[in-house]
Amino acid sequence: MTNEATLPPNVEQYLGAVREHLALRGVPAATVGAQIQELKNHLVDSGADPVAEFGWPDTYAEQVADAIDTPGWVRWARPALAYISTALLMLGITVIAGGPVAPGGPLRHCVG
Amino acid sequence: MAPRKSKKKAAVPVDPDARRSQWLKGLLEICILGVLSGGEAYGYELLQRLDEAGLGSIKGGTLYPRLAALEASGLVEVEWRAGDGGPGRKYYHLTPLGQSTRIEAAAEFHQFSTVVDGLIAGDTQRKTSA
Repeated sequence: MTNEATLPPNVEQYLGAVREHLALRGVPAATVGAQIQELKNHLVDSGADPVAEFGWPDTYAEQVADAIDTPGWVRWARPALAYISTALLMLGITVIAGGPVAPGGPLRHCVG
Repeated sequence: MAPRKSKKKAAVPVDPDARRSQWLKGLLEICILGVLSGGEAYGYELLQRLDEAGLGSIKGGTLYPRLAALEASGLVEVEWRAGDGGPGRKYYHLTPLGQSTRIEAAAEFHQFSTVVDGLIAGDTQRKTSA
């Protein structure tokens, strides 16, 4: 019987990577969850090494995305949106931290 | 983790395992429908049944994307069932569309394989006009 407590760290790491790559390719959350549970059961039943059994996480995720026909634009748009939102977040942090806000504004020098 | 293998494509692979793998790409889904016509099964169980039938060992990485494709195309349906104290298992069974597709494919494949058998065996003779 499947017992998740017996999963070795490399299996948890592998499943986490598959989860991430499936989500990046726009696979619906319910399908991602079902895939992870199914892979977990399989690995417990077979005792197989995850990479030997399923291949590399990105390759496996791509095959699943292909199989369920995730639209191509979703697959490239998701990583692009993630990149843009990270860039905006970093810009926001820079502004809050007192970085340059108004180009051409007065320069102030604080000499302690 | 083992290093990635390089992928080489060959028209007719010299290695028997590679030939089998090439054929499986086109036939695995039909074989899955065939196994499921004998009763529902979960993924690992399906692999065991395919192996016992003589198809040989198939990796989970080959099976599950094909099951996902069959599910997405409405040929199989799934049902999650709780195990004895463990998490649920995903059981696959044929839909009416899957059953009718399997029956059609079985007839077509029989005809196709007969032709291919003859061709591979070199039984064909050039038809000449008298």
